[in-house]
Amino acid sequence: MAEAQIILEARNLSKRYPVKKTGLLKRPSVLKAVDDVSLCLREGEVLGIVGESGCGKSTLARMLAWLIRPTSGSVLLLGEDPSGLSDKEIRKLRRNIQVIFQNPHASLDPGRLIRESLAEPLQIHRICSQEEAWQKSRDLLHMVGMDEDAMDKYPEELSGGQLQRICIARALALEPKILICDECVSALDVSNQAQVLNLLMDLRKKLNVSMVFISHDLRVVRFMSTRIAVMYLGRIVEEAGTEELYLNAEHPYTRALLSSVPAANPALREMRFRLTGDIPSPVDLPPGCSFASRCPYAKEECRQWVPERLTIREGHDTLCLRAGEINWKE
Amino acid sequence: MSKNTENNLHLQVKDLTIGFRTRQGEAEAVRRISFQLRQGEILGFVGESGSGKSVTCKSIIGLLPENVTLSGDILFHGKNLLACTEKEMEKYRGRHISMVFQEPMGSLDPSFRIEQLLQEVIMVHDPCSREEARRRSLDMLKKVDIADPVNCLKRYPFELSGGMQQRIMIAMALLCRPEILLADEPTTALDVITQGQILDLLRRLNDELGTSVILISHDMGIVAQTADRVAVMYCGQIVETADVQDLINHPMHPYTEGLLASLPERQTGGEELRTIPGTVPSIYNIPSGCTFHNRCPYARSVCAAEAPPMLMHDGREVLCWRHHERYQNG
Repeated sequence: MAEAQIILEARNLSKRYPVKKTGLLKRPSVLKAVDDVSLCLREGEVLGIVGESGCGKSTLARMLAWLIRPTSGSVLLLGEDPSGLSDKEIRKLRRNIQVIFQNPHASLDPGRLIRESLAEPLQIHRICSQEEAWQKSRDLLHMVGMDEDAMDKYPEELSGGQLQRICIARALALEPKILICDECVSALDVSNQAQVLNLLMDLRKKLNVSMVFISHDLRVVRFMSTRIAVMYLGRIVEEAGTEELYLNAEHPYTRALLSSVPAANPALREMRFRLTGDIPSPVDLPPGCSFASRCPYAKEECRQWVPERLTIREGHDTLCLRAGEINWKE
Repeated sequence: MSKNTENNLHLQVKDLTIGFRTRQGEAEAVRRISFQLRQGEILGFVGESGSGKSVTCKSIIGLLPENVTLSGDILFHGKNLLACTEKEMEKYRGRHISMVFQEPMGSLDPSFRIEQLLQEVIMVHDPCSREEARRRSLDMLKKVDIADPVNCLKRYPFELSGGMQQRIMIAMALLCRPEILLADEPTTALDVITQGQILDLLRRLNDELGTSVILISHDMGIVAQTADRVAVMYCGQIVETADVQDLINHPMHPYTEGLLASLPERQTGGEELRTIPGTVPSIYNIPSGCTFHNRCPYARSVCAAEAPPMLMHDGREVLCWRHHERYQNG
């Protein structure tokens, strides 16, 4: 089977933010929000990105959608690099990539009717007449499983789950090829969450959109994704197909994350691998592997060398000097 | 030692009803719930937002606002807390019953050092010399796994990470060795690894100090990993109570069944998630009969007409006509 086409690619993407210096003679510090990340999304794939807060997931998502500019590295959206394009050309290119954010209350204008929010992307891109835009908004609402009564409501009249459906409908208005979901079910209750996840899966099949699905919740990411990238302090430390990652994680951080997931199974209580301490500050990181300070398997060389990305099996990459050496059964 | 005798009951709640007087009229957030907290156990409360978990917790410690009406009994070792004056409640609060909240940063006074915050708790309930208070504070910080307690005492809350802050909250709550700790979504603001650490800590302290814990969470996984017994709340009622193992493996109430089935981790091989149709009813508009009947796949005519009585069977309690009929007919 020929591999599907790559539709979104990040090459050595980095984003650094200068941090205000604290002393007169101190040199300004640098916060590396995203550090040398390369990844690609193929057509039809759902790439999950998982990590704790502050690991750079959202910064990465925003760079992929070209909402913020990278400090270095490049993004290729459908093979085109937006950095050389004019604003007008970028807008045209951006039709193909849409973002759904975490908080639907914040992403919809409270002073506008739902119909106006849904039609806005169509108007911005001058796709159709006003009449057609209303009709299309109605179709979009049906597609996300909502009544057309919602058209003439304000966001405050709807529940969180319903609003998130509206955000999904709006993101799909332009028939994008890529959908970036940034923690899009984190604010929802379990039963709403399940409904929205089913909806996304269903739309993915029907419309053949590819997705980058970002979440801190491994259970949700596992359900949605075909591949998963694990981020820690701005880097992707491991990337593999979903089942491969769950069965054969090679990075100690991935192992720790997996065993921290609160599974609804009391029998799993005791079999856990816990890290101690907190995630260090991403400002002025020490040399070497950024995970070394918390890694129970770290050796001297881990504190000196930054590990290179290593393909341990086909389609399974990890960023660990000791990859393949550690016996997990101990 | 049997856990079921009256003497081992820390808390007995009988027919507790909590109503709110609001502009939209009178609404009952909690309706005639009864439960018991046994000595040394962790009782989990699980349910979606608005089901009445937090309100129940706050009523135990007397932290509800002015516009509530309370009826029923909350017996703490035979003493009815609902009949206590504010002055009397102050003696229980912190000393016998403590609470940990969701947002640690919002619960720690930002203008005091950790040492002052801890000392205040001791001085209010159990005055002693400053050296003694310091010794007890250091002891407690060690118990909650603070790596460098002496240094930590000098810090202000904002200097600590979310996980550390929550440890401080737990230390403050347990300083006077209360019999009961109420933990209201204590890990919701934390990352998955830190969450695992805090839940482990709660279980260890429950074991070491014998403190009984009521753990509230919207996440079935968290409750399953931590609690001994679980009460499932829906729409202001406890619809099912059981030992954690029984509840997860053999849920009896259709709502519990739906909640478990909608967890993404329960799904394998790209199947759809099972969802609970519809949404949680508003407390201003509670359905007649069984509150769950309009979302229940097993509902029959009796369910809409009449509220089911609590069925007690084999150490389990369930509020559902279906089981009622089954056990009545043998």
